[in-house]
Amino acid sequence: MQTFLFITLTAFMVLFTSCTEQEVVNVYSSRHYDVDTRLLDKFSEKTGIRVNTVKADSDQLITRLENEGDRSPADVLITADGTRLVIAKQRGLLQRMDPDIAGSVVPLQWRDSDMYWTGLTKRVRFLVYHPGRVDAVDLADYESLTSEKWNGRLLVRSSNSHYNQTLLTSVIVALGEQGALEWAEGIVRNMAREPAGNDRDQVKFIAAGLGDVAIVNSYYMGLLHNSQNSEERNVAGQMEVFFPNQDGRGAHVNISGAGLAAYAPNRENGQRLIEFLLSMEAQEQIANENFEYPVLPGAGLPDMLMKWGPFREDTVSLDSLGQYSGQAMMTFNRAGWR
Amino acid sequence: MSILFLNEVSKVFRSSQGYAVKCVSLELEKGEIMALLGESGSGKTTLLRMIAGFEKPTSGSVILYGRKVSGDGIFIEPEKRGVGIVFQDYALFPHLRVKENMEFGLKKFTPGAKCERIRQLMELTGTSSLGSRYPHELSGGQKQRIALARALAPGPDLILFDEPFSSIDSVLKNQMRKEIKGILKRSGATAVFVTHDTRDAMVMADRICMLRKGENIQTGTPDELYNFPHNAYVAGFFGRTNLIRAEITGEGLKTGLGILPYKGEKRREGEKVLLSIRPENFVMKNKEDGCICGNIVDRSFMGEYSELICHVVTGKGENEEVVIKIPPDESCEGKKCYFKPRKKGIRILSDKPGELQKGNHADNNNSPT
Amino acid sequence: MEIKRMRGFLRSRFRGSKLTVFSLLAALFIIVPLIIIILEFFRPATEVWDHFVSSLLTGYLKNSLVLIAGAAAGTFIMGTGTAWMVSMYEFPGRKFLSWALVMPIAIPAYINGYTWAGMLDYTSPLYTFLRERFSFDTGAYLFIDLLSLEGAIVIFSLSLYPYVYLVSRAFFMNQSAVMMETAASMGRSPLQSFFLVALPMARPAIVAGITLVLMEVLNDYGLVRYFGVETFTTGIFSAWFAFGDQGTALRLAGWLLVVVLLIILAEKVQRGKARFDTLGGSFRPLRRRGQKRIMAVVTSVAVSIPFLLGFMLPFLMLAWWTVQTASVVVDLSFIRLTANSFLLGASASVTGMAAAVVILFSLRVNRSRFMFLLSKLSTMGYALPGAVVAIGILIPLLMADSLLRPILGWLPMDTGRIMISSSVFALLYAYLVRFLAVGYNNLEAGYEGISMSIDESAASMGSSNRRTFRELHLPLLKVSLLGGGLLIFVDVLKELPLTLILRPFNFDTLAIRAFEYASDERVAQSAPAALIVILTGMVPAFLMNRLLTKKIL
Repeated sequence: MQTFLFITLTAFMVLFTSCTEQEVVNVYSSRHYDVDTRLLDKFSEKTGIRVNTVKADSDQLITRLENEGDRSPADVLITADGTRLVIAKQRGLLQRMDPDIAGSVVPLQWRDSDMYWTGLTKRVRFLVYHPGRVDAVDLADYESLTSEKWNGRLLVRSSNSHYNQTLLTSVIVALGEQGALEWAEGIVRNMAREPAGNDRDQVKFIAAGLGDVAIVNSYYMGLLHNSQNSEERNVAGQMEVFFPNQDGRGAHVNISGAGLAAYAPNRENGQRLIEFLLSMEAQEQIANENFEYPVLPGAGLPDMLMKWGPFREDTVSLDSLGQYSGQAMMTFNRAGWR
Repeated sequence: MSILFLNEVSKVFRSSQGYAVKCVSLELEKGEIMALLGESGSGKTTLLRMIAGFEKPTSGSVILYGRKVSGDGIFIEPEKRGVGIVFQDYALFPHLRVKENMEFGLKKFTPGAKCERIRQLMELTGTSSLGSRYPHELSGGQKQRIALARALAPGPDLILFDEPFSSIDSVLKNQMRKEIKGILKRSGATAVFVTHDTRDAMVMADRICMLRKGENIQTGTPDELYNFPHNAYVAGFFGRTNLIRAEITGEGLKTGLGILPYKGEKRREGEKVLLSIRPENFVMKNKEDGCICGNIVDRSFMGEYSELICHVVTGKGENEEVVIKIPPDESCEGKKCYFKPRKKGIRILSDKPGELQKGNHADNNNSPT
Repeated sequence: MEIKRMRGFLRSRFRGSKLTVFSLLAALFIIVPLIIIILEFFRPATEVWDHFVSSLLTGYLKNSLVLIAGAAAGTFIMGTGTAWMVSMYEFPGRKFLSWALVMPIAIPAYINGYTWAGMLDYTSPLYTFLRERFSFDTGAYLFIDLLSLEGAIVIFSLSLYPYVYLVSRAFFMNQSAVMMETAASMGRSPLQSFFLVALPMARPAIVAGITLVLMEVLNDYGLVRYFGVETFTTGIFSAWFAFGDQGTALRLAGWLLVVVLLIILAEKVQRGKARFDTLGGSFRPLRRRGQKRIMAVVTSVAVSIPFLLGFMLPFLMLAWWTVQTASVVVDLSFIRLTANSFLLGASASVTGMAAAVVILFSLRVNRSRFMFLLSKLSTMGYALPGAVVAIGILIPLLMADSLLRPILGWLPMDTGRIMISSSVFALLYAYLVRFLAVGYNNLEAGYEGISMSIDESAASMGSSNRRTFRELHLPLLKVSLLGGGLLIFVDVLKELPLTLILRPFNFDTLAIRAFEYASDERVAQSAPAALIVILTGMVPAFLMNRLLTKKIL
């Protein structure tokens, strides 16, 4: 009996002792890209601050922050979806950061007006199609995807995806709740298959001939084009991209961003990290390696994004989108969008 | 034509273990009941399983109803042999009712014929009231009757029993032996059963095949095996006997008990032989008159008979122990007694006297209690 | 008389002793999550719950039922079919397969799922090969769409059939041999005997095996999430995290629990009716039948399929991916991750076995009905899906945290940020709840081998309970303790949903890392972690088919 207890206690000790050190910054991140690892390493190298990262789904991170309350070890919350930052702010999980960190560099549209959070990168939810089967002339906007013509040809991932949820909130803002429900139902009607897999899979489904058009986040196309797997590059090469709603409100743009945790034990380090991520160097690295659009005006773009060219962005503020996030989920469920 | 013919059947499971069954040949006529008798490990069950087709003989052949079912590269699977079997634990299908158990082998019967056949069998085995019960609702004797009825149902020419009475208590055993024998005889079935109990074999069997270490050491009627054992093992297996060394002389058999009468085939004079005289084959006398004189060492009253253990002083001055059974009413007071073997009760065994190792009388370790 | 007096003496001496109190506490701890879930039903439902009821619940129910039915059918066919062939017929590779068919148990269903998804991906080596070498159009016709409800059923069947295989094989090989022989003597072919005798007789055992399969299916989160199948577990995650509504998550857990209990009940009912005779006598193995060469080869191929698809192919794929990605993936943090997992597994198996020992030993010295009930309650956790256990534990721990808060503030040390709910303790607690039964069953089997009269004679020689335990039980139970501990260890290593919810800050395990990589479309990078999990899981399968059988029966 005593031996058991002894072993257990020792195990506890060993397990607990990993969190005591001086200069650290604790990051809760739902971004899971290789470029992040490289950037954070670079940050540690430059500042000597060690970065502890907890990676999880952003909803899980938010729930965790909420549960931990003022005892949370988190300093910085990074999400891959803007709406989550709005929710985090609403729930009092974030705190105001120094305005000069982002206020001066990030356009107001891509940050919180009170500086509770800031965007780091932008991603467009655009359309990918197979030029052999689809004429670009037929593609117009998100709304036109519900027309009969696309019956059985549309590919889009599940409603669990935050990207889809935020896209739907933008549709709710544009068309109203009823309009959005009808839109979602129209999309479900036209789906080539039950939603499965992630954005890259949708593109592959087109290549496999399951459908013709997919709703995809822009950077996934970049990643596919630059994949180590030649077959993936081959798939990407067959496709064309289309920016929808260029004649109207503009293509839906989401951000990936960061906020300072409300009870950050290492507030200063957290701010330094966000500052670093907004530096020209970091911004260009993210753009070059992960094909996201930088939020910093004037940051250089990789060839691929240059080739896609400039486009009109939906200018609705994320703040206004955030308030519809609950409705978005319910609308999806009602529409039967899996 | 014989129902079953085994021609030099052998079985080796693992070469390191040697023969499980060694060169056994047997023939069974229609309507005959044969017992395979032996201690555990004698190969009797393996032999039975080879007849049924559950084991494949290593060599030799099995011929059933004139058809070769095993040997010379032929092997007929058990379901195609038409042999019924009743296992020690009866192996009644626990998920089927008694009736359904019996029906199981009647797949080629029409429903009407099925019913009729089952009715017959139930009548034959006296189980008519049990048709809708499940096996776990039956007593041991009922289970056995039903297992037998089930095995008889498809009308096999041969029925095999694996230790049929070993899981029944001794009171029921007697009754069941007679009953089963009756059923078998009435149905005209030919049967082989495996047992380690000489009583089972003697009551049930027309002929007994005695196995030891995989070899058939004697086959014959129960009477032959009891009264004319080939060797000390058989003699001892069937009950207590006095094993006595003897030398063949002109006057008779020269033994430690004196000269005994000698009957049967001529033997070379001076040959050393071993005799078996069963305890009941002694007659008590009142006078010394040509009798053997013994000192009574122990006297036990066994109910139906009394058993005396006497020491007889041999010519060399040693004591030779003799066991004698006497009727309970025959009193034998005093310390000395006089007795004489019955002439018919003296058997010359095939064993050499030198092979006899322990004591001079064999005990039957397997005798029923 | 003497014995009775002795028992009475033992009883009176230990009624209400420390031991009993201890196991009472253990049992109480373990049923906390249950109580939390039941209590939720007495609280008013939230708006979110109404939404779930109106648009999601029927979908969850339908999907879960289809999954259950499909997995039951799939594992039944594969498990009993292979067990039958392996025990009844002789064919090339039989001996190897008889053992190898258990191996898929080492691959958690979710890993099997995403590995297969990776293998059947449009850009996978398989399709690339077909396109390039044979210029096949691997488009819509050839493309196997695994990411679906049907696909999930196939993967569940391939990963979980060993549960059914193990029990059926044990049954066919030993118990039913004499019945099969009887059937043969009555002119029934092996196939007829299979359907008429072996299957009906093995039914209770097979259903018990399938019940375990269904538990695993209902417990799963990783596979259904990856395949886009909405079930109760994904619902619990969605209610808890996406909607941020604990109440709804608890209610869903309650519903899931109802489904689980119904299955257990159904199993009990079918077993209860089957009060079949236990066969006495000797269990003789069946003589396996020879076959014509062509048939034997066909059998070999057919029986290999579950092994190849359920284990060999995904295993080789993961091994290949590991070779490709190990240099990138395996770094210092990966080693820490592995250490975390192993340490966690070891601590969980130590605490689990310790609790099992306490409960079983007190049950032994105090055979009251109360103790019996207690032991039954404390082993119920295995029926609770991981997600259910996790939220059932997290909620009371969060409450405990807020209660403890003022006390911690008083302490002179820097304890301000310590929380039970996000500590290794919470995780170990949850593992204890969920896996105690695994260790318990193993140890119970061990204890059955120690006759009560051993304890009694020790007591008559003046040995104290402590001494009896230390000097008699412990040495005799060594194997059971190690075996049970190993099984818990492996289960912890594989565990996903529970760990996902309760893991502490900065604490990842192999299973989580593998699942995260896979969810990020980086299946190849997930391979090293997955491979370690699988290799560890192979140890019990490898060493002791027997041990696994014990876990099941």
